[in-house]
Amino acid sequence: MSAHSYHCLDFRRDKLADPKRLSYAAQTHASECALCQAFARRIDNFEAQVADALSIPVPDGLAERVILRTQSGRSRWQLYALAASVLLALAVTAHFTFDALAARQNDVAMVAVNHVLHEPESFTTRLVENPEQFKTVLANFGGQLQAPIGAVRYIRLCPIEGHGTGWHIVYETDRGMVTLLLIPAKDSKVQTETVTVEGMNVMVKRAGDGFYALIANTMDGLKAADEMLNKNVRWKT
Amino acid sequence: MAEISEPMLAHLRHKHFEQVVRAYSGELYRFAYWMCRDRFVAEDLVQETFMRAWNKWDNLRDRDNPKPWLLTILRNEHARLYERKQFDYVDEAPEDLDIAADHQPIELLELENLVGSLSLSLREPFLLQTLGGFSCAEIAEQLGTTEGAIMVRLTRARQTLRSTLEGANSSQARKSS
Repeated sequence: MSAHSYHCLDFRRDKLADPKRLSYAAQTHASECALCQAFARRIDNFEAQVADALSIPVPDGLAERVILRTQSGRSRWQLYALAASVLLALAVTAHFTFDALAARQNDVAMVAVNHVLHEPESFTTRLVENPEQFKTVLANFGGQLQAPIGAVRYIRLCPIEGHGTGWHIVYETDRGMVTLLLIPAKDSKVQTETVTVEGMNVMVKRAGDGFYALIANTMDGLKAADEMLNKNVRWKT
Repeated sequence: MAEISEPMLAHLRHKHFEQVVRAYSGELYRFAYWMCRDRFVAEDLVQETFMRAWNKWDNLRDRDNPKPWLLTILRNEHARLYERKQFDYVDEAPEDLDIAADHQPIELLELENLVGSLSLSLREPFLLQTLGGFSCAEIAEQLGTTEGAIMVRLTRARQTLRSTLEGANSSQARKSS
């Protein structure tokens, strides 16, 4: 008889440490223990969900860019130096022509548009299969969904520059895709505004536990989306 | 037997490098992203990793399995970019871990956020296992520690993720009731 026989606790420890590589002792134990079989199933489900969560989209053309760069032989610091000189030239020009743009750098609308522009995969990736996810996210933000506002296809928790973390949501409407950023904030200084930035139409409004930024390609599409949002979502006051 | 010419060798060397880039850049990008949580920094890390790898291509020992070598370069690059924080982390004995039996349904979105919020000492081995497919012994070798310590960290990473999600789900259930 061995000094240490294999118990349920041993199995759980091994399963949590390396779910896909169980020892012979662990496999033998599981085949005879219903509780550990159930535990193993739960961990396997959890692992499958982890794998889904980690499998973020890889930028198009990444391998080609890597190969191109090694062929050009420039190190990051050389590229930074080159970029810095280009930026300096641009900054001189921008100083005279983009005062109005610079004034808006910290503006919520500008931040929202920049965020959308930096996450182009939000329009091409379908992350949401269950419409209940949007309902839950909205409820946590202080909004009750009374009726659908469109077909939600993308929800991701994202860092929003200068505003902590917010929900990045993309949904389809009759007038095209609309982006909704839900940004928790206690700051009451956020102004309601409707503007066009970088060719995108943005509406910022206080709602729920912070404010939202709604972004659409056309002004008509934006207004229709906002009407739908106000009609179908009851915000807590 | 005819010797392979220098230009031909250089060509074969680059061909092999290209194959490796195409085969592993996606995996490396995902690993980099979950280390830094920034798409642009992640791409930069991948670019720099391959640049360094190319400059030291002759140092690649296992030509059929370059992943561990590439991940080591990437981890070093990440450490260079972000000064490695000093953790008060003490590896416990596996017997001391309080292993929960229950499990609740979980939300993918919360999980995604939670993985990113794991401390580096837990996240690094967790990513090496879940994304890299490495065993505890292989991870221990890469991180310069013992297999037992890695097993503890992986157990703790999963416990942290599961218990936080269970907590979130319970409070969500309380909210909706």
